[in-house]
Amino acid sequence: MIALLRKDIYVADKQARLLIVLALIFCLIPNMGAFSSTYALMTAFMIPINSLAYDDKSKWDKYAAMLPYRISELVGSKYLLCVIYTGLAFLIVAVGMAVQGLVVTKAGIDWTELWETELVLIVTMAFIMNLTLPMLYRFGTERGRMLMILMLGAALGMGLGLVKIVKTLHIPGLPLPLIVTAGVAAAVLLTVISVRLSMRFYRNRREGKYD
Amino acid sequence: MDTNAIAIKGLTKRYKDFALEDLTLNLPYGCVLGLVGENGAGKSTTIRLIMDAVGRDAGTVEVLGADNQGPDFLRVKEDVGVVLDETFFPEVLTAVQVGKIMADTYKNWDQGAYEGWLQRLELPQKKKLKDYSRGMTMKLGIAAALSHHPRLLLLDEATGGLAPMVREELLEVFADFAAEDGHAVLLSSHIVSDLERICDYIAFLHRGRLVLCEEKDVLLDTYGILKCTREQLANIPEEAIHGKRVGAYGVEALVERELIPRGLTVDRANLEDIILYLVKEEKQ
Repeated sequence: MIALLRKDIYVADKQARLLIVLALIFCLIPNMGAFSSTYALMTAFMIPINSLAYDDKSKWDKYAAMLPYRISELVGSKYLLCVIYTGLAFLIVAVGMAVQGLVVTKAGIDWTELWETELVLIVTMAFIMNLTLPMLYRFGTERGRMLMILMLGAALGMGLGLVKIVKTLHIPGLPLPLIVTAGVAAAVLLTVISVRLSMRFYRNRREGKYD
Repeated sequence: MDTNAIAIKGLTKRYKDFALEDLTLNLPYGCVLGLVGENGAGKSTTIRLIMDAVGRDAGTVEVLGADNQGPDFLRVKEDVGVVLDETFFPEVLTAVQVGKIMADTYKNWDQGAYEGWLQRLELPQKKKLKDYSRGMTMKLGIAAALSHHPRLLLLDEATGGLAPMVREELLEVFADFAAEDGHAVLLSSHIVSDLERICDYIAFLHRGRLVLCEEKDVLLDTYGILKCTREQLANIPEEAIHGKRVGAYGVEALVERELIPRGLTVDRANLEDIILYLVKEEKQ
């Protein structure tokens, strides 16, 4: 697994650095809240997608099948890569908003906005990752790209929608920690289903069933 | 220890437009087996099936004494070095990065050996793979395959795209590798002269079927080239003739030496002659 992560991090190296710098700049510009978090999120997701595209181009999967890797490692490493870069996006947004509140606008940190933004980011990323990766394994990065763009829009909408619902519901006796825990449990369940689906598609693709 | 590094029995794999049917062959330790055949004959499919990179429809495959679908096979893969044609790491990586990834992949990875191979094969360490020629990429693949102390080498068109001098050097490396105790090499190639130079056994695949699998020396002793007239050829038993080329001044035929009547001169056939005539015979 470490070897696979190392490969993907090397592949994304320059691109990741550039995108991180841009995401940080956007985060520091006032009144760019939604745009900067969306950009950070796109950054986080495009890196694993590009890594898959490079894999396709070099026919890496055929070579990897000869090396001592399990299919669960080959597929799981891409999910882990998504999680790592989501964590990075989380950090960028947090640092960006903190610096903006403390240094640029000097209005202090708006913790509610910060947590809302971060929540949208995590929920959206969980949707994108879990819905898109199986599609990319099923259709390949070329054909899957269009579906991915549609999925990105849908996931962002879902993320924003969910947070709005949570905020407007205000159900008595249903505290935020419980909602967050339920959300995390749902995300974990979705991830387990998604990984299993991706593994099945990966295996079928290797067998040439989609050629 | 088993006598075979690879033992394949009744191996079958069916795709929509191609099938590898009932392949049975063995690669003994200490030997180099040359897999030869046209494009699409099933050479790469065979190598992928040996490593269980694709599932089989029938048959059994044992690699270094282990069932390739058994629980131990991931461990066995540590002892197999593989070089594939046109398939490697993403092009944005460098040889140094490939080395670091392989160090995390193989428990037996030998960084010193890898660096030695990079120097010996004159490979730039910090150049991206996209700036490598095809030959350089193949050489890097070979360096990576040899640097984790494998016992078995699987080489799919690994000498293609290499300059003759480098090819010569690497063929010697492969032959020396196979000669070591408990080692073996399976080499698929279009370049029959390469196979003739280092192989102990030749397996010839045609349209997914194994046409022959024989010791190279036996093949070279069994077959010969007969140059004669049409009338002389008519007197030769049909089973002795494995292909012929009829020209204006006579006939050239691949024949089995032992079945040829005395008095006719049979020249030595090289492996390329034998393969070409046998392909022709199969097509007919």
